[in-house]
Amino acid sequence: MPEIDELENRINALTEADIESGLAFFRSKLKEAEASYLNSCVRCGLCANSCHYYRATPELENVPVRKLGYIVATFKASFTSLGRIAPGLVNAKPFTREIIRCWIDSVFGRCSLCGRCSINCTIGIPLPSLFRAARATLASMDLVPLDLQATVNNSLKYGNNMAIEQEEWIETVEWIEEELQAEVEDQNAKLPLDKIGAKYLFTVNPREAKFFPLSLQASAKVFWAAKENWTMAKDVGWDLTNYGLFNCNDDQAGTIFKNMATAMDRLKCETLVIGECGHGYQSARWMGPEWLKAHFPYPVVSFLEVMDEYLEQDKIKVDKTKNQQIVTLHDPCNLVRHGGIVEPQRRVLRQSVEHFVEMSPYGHENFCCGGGGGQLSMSKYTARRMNAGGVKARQIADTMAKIVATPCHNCVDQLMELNKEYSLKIQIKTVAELVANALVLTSRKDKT
Amino acid sequence: MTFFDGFLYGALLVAIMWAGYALVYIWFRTRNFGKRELFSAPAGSQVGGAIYAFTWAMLPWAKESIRGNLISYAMGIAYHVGIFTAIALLVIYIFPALHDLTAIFLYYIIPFALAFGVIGGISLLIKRMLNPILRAISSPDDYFSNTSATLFVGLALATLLLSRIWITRLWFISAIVLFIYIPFSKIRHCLFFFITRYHFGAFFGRRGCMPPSKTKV
Repeated sequence: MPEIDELENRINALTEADIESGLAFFRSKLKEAEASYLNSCVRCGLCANSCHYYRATPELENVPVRKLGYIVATFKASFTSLGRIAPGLVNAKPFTREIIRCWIDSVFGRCSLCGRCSINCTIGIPLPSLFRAARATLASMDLVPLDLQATVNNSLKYGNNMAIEQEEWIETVEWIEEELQAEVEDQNAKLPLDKIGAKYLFTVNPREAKFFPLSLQASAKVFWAAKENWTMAKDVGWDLTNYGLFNCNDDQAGTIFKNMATAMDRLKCETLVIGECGHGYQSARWMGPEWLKAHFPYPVVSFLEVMDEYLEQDKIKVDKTKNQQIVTLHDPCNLVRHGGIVEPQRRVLRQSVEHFVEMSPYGHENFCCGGGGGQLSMSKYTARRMNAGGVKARQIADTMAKIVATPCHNCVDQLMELNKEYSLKIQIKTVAELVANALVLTSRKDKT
Repeated sequence: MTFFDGFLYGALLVAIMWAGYALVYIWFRTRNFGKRELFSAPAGSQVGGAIYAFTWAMLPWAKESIRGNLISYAMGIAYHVGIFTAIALLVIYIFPALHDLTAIFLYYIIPFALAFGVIGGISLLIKRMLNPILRAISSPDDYFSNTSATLFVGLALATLLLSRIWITRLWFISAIVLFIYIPFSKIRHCLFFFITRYHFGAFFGRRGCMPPSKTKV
């Protein structure tokens, strides 16, 4: 049965009590800040062009304020006096099946939670925080698109979102270790698992283990070159992804995040290092402590910051002439706009590649690739995702770059699809892959 | 002063007090939603982020949405300057002692600010009516808020230029309507703009996202 019907069936099966409890849940997700945002919008419409969905398809339903409008309508009808007395004056609309359909379509189907509208809002409304409250409400009513929820369920059941069994994980790591040893001609090159008291607990995207072993090998090579004391978890806790950030079920997100927190406690590492992943970084660095309502006794850093520090402290040396092709950088929204990691990847790339060009716009103004917000896992909205990604494809094409570096495996996946769809003829690499390729292995034979 | 004028003054003061009281009440209602305790270790400064949000982030070149809509931005600025000028003029009329002190502004600056305000208000209203996207996202409140505020500014200008008592009375009536309407309308952003912008700046400032890094090409 197509999912559109399946979701529709779930909407139709809602009882009045379900809808009421959904509304109560929505109320519980709002704090002072969100209630203020919901009172602030002046509907100037200037956010329209900031959204890649609207840029790709300039229609009403893609305008950020339109998407927000459905949430404001419910807020006004349910929680403001005027909304109850004169709903027509302020477009207040009660929380009904009809408005629930609008919520699903706008917050799951037309938004990657990239936050570009926030920085362009004339008032300064962080729209994704409200869209997250709406997604959380829908999650509480079991109205999350099935395949997005399936990804979360995988993490809950297997400890990683690709349902990789522990044995398979260990075998993969051992295989990558052999490859690394062959590459650097050093039998001591290791991908340590469960090393108690290591400085860094390194976490990866399961896609690296499943489809992109070279990414993990590149990161391991950087650690090896820096002679770092690092480890990964053997059991759950090695996966940095957390699609709970996207279905916005905070309980599930917290449970998934606990895997990493537990691994940190178990292995007594000093620092939690998040591999190259936008949403993984936001989840662990910023949301994890909120989900668990705990202050962490250890720092959470991005692998980009680690590589940046290695270069700054001369722990590794790179030769940029080894990367001769023109390289541009795609900024993952969760890492840059939501995470504040903007410069480390640039400093690293400037030293590691011969020709580095920025997209226009770039940094915190960069466009989403279209794969964020869980869009990659919601097949129902694939056509919209690919269409919205056209904005990114044009940005890339304009740079004339042959390689797009991006510190995020979700972005890698989306960019690979865009590469095919828009015939970009580019290679997509993580930052570590470029750094690993440029490494100057002074004390050991350089096989790169 | 006639009884009617006395009544207008009284009604205006009541309307202003009502607006102030109601806005504070709405603000307290939003505060009742509670504060969110944050556990993640900060990477930047909340205060620095908030300061940035109220300063550099509001400059026309700071946002793509403004860079691409400079005319709308200019009209918006003119409109808001006009509204604040009209309110200042209202204060001068309520307290005639201020008249002499502000004479130079009354004749050389205020009329221009009000005129720009009227142009700004009308142009934004026309834009809202003509642009199909804006029309679709608008509620009746959007039109009424704009119209009532523009009328208030326009009548302030007419009062200043024409010096007719009936125009002054109309201006006072428009002010009474406007102030009574503020708490019900989107004009409440006169308060929530500042609250939202503070939260926006503080949130992203704490994460080290604001002020944004000055990336070098």
